[in-house]
Amino acid sequence: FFSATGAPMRCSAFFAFCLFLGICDGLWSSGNIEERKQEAQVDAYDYGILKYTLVDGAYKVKDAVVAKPHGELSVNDSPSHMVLGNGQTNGVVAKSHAKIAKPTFTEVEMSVNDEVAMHISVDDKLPENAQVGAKIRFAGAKTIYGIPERAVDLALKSGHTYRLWNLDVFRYQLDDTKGIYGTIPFLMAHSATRTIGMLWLNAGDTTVGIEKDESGITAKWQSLSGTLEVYFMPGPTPLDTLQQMSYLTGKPYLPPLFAMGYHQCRWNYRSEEDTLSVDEGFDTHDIPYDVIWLDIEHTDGKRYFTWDAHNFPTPELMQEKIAAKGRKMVTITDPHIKRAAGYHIFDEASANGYFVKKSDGSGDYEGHCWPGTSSWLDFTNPAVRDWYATMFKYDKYKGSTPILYTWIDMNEPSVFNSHEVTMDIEAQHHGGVRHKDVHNQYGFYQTMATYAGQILRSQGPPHDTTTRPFILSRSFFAGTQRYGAIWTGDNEAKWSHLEKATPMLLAMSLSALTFVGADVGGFFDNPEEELLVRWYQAAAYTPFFRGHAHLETKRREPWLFGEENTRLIRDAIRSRYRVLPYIYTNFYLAAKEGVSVISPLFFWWPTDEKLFELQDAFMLGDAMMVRPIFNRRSESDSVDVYLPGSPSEPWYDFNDGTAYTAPATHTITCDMNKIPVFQKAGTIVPMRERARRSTTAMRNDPFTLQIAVDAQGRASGSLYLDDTHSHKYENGAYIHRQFTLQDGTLKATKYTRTSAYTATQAPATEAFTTNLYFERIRIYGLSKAPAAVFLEPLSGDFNAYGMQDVGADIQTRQSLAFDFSNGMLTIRKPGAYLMLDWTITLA
Amino acid sequence: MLLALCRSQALLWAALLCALLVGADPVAQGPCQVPPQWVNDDYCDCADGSDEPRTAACAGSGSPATFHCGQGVPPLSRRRIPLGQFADGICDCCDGSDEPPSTCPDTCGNHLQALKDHNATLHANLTQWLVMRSQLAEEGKECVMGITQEMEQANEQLQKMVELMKQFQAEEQEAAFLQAYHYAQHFKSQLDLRKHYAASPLQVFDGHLQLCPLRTQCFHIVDNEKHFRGGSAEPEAHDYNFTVCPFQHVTQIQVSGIKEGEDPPKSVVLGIWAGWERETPPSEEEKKMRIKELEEAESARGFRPGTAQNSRTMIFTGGESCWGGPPRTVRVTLRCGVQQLTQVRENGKCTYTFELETPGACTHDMVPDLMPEEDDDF
Repeated sequence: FFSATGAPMRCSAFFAFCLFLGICDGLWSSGNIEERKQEAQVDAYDYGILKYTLVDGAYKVKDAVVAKPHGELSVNDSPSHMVLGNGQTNGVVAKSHAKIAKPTFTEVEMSVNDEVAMHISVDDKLPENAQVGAKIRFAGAKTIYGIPERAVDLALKSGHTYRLWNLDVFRYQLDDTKGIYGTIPFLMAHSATRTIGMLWLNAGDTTVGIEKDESGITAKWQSLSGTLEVYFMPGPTPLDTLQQMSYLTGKPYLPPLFAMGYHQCRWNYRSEEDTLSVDEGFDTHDIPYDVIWLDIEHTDGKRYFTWDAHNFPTPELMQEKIAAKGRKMVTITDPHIKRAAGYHIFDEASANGYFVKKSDGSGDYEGHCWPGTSSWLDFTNPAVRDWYATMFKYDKYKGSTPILYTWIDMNEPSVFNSHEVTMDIEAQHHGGVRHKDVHNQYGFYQTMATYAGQILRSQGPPHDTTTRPFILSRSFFAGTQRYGAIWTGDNEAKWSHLEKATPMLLAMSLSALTFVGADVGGFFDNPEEELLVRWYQAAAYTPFFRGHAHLETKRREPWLFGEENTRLIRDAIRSRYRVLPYIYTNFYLAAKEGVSVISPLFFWWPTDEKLFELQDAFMLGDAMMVRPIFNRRSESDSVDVYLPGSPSEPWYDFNDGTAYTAPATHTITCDMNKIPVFQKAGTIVPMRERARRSTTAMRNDPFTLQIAVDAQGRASGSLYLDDTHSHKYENGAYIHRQFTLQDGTLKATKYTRTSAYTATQAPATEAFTTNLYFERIRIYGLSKAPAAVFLEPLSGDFNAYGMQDVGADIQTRQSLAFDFSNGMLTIRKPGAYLMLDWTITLA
Repeated sequence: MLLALCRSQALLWAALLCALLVGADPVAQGPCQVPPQWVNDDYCDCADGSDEPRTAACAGSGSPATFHCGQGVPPLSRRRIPLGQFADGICDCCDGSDEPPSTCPDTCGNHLQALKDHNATLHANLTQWLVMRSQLAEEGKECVMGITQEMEQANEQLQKMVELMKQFQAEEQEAAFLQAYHYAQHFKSQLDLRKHYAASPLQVFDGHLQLCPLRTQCFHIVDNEKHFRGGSAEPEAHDYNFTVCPFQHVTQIQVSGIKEGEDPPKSVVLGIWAGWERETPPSEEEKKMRIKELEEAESARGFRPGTAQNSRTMIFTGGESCWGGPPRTVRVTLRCGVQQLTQVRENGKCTYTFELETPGACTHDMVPDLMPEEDDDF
């Protein structure tokens, strides 16, 4: 039955066999049993990743997985089994092998370091409408996570069946197991001894039933269309598993810095005048922000890529004024296209046959969305994506300028007048592919096309270099992290929605989707003031940070809630801008290593069972822990926060340096001024502490290093910096500095750490230089004041950095001014430049 | 004088002086003491920002300190910008003093001229509007008398009908009784309508007789829902004609996108006159005092915006419910100007705000000096 061409086989092993599955095509069609020919296939990837596929001619998901199989497979055949070892050596963290039962080839054991970790059992008793299914057993697993997007707890629940089918759910319900806008069919199974991952690569209507017992967890997968394609990630830690998932589906792109600032959105700012007055309001109230957004109403009758002539008559002029403040704008371009002759997008798409077709192929599929009768661009077609990309060129998108970026919404796709508010599952895509096969990837493909468009438009004047795109999409699939940001869609102005935002964002983050956020304040309804403030305080530390509100809500600009609330919101947004150097560094590490920007606590203390179901707090990078407040003060003015770790690694209040022991639960009293944010002992967080109006306005500001020492007085951290907007960093135009404090000496050197997951970099052909410096070094956790503090440059090729004028004062050993109070050492103007190697000694 | 300077922290010498004067007090959040070479050295030593009045080092340190444009030369010195906007690459001061030399063009001349022009126009307009206001106040006297008379008449008629009803009841004249009851109801409703103006006309107009003539007028404005509420969940955004009848009601009617064969759109009541917006309801004693005050000094006093009794905003409540929402409500804010409705907004579901310009809202203290004062903003 199997065809093996000799051992060891390269890349993959194939086994052809006939499968008696209830799902076989035409099984009962003529009274005869027709067997569907299937080929089992095993592929090896880097990092011990294995793929098991049943190839049967049904639709296979494309473009989501970018890794190519190129590991060696060793084959060890016996009458009952075939054992296939992942023989590749590149970045092996854990050894893995697949053991396939003969003669069916439908029972597969995946082992990590010779221990069975996952068992795939292809389901031969599927319901009539199901196409593929399997029971996947995670041996020894205690908890299981993943499969965004739905508003449920982080740890998936036994006895629940979750549906993976992208839908525009009006006022989605919390704890509903049905899916909402996006899907990543990824599970991470965890125990104190092992973490593994699996990807069920299928974009059809899919369910996963979770059953837990004492010896592990079983996930029962079923899809109504497509092919059975299972990737196994051997871990063995949560971080390894995440990084393996990022390796498979692509590391996140590095967004431009402005995209990590605060975004102000509303359905809808009424006019150019309104837009500019909101912009002015931020300056008047001294609140930083980077991007102002225009929803569907900025268009001429919901025709995307056009402008309303009455309310937005001079879009270039408006953007010039926003650009003059160093800020950006975003407009929305949804995938439904109004069927209106004379509308250039419709005319061109229509003439070229670029719309999704009706189920019988007889013409364009039609449905209702915002503009009324519409058709949907077939983004699964590469030719449509190429054409769509050209729509973003400045001569095509009239009224757009280089500061204009893109929001793509309703791309589940949302079809108002259709079953489940989405497209006919039999509608035809490019190549005759039925919608049901590609449904969950539709939004992903639009993101891909939009990304290409933003790259394309910047490949020529007025750009001197290509700029990094910024796209926000509502729908997503595995791989979306390569192209843009995601938000949790139409949430509500309720405390419960603020609370659920954390597990929702964490489920995405651990599924390799990095750039995620929830609408501040809640999209539907009007938030009470206390909720709004708490939401700002929490969202300030999430990767994507945007305030947004529904058409029928009251205006919600941060200064509309009285002086005190304005101050609190200002402080919350400023707290984001203060740590932007740290956030930017973490986005870079995500792009380079495939880690996430935020993560659940169990990622960092995988053996601490108290953290397995913890979802009310999250880590930002590896140094900061954030505990959002999602209850009114009248209910409780304190929260219990569990701080994990060891006694040698206490935690510090991020803002005032108060020390907290670990591991321990502390009751933290919360006034309205802030939420609990901690810095882990042994870490260094780069900051910029001057409150400016935008990221652009901060570009010449000096930095601060905030250091929290462990019991041995040690700490380390890094700072990444580049031009913040171009792709030149890919050619080496960046600096990444490593800071290490040990034995009373803080050392700044080049960051050279790599891991098995570090992307290979081309030799540097460009360089980034800066004469920026640290204005302050703050150290938490020192028991006594040093007698003196000295700066000594290790090396300094000032001329090479164009720093002739600043070099002189730091070429000799200097005594530095400092202040020590309340256990906090502040070193004043150390004269330490970013580009240079130096040491600061606490004598 | 010295304390004022300390608060302003405008100048280096002032900051230093303040440090000498107040810096010794550890309790007060006053300026802290730093060595002279640490003043304006681009490092924030003082939480209140007092050591860095001319750098951005203390921006966001929790201090409300601001940068003063114009090197202290009046009137340009009066523009204050947040410290974070100092040396951030964006020109905020008209003289460019917030950015390095020769970064920003000097636009103060233009600003000054624009302000002068604006003030000249405003001056001319206000002179006219204040005359109109006096006329309105004259009309207002008759207008108020009119209401009082109407109420008295309605009350008289009502009483008369009630008497008749009693009589017919006794006489068992059923038909006549019902007729009298019908009339009584009519007068009662007239009286009720007047009661919308509350018991005293002076209270209705909040003492502002010049506003009374508005009660017989209605004002219109046509706007598209994209503009007045930000958009529409429907494919087409429609135009609406709004009618504001002060002291009576506010209505709207859809005037675009009406398809042939469909029922014509109906007028929708957005709100019925409910009184003036009050920040806190005044006590009975306060009401009496205010009325007395206004009765005595009406002609001499100006319209006082921003007082606790905010008589600038009219409230209309109990409108028809919008789809899936609460009853509509309306706020109409009076602004000084010619008599016209200038703006409509729906801010939040079923909540409408209008701006109504009337000379009745103009006051003498609004008349600008033709020369800009020192505290004018640049």
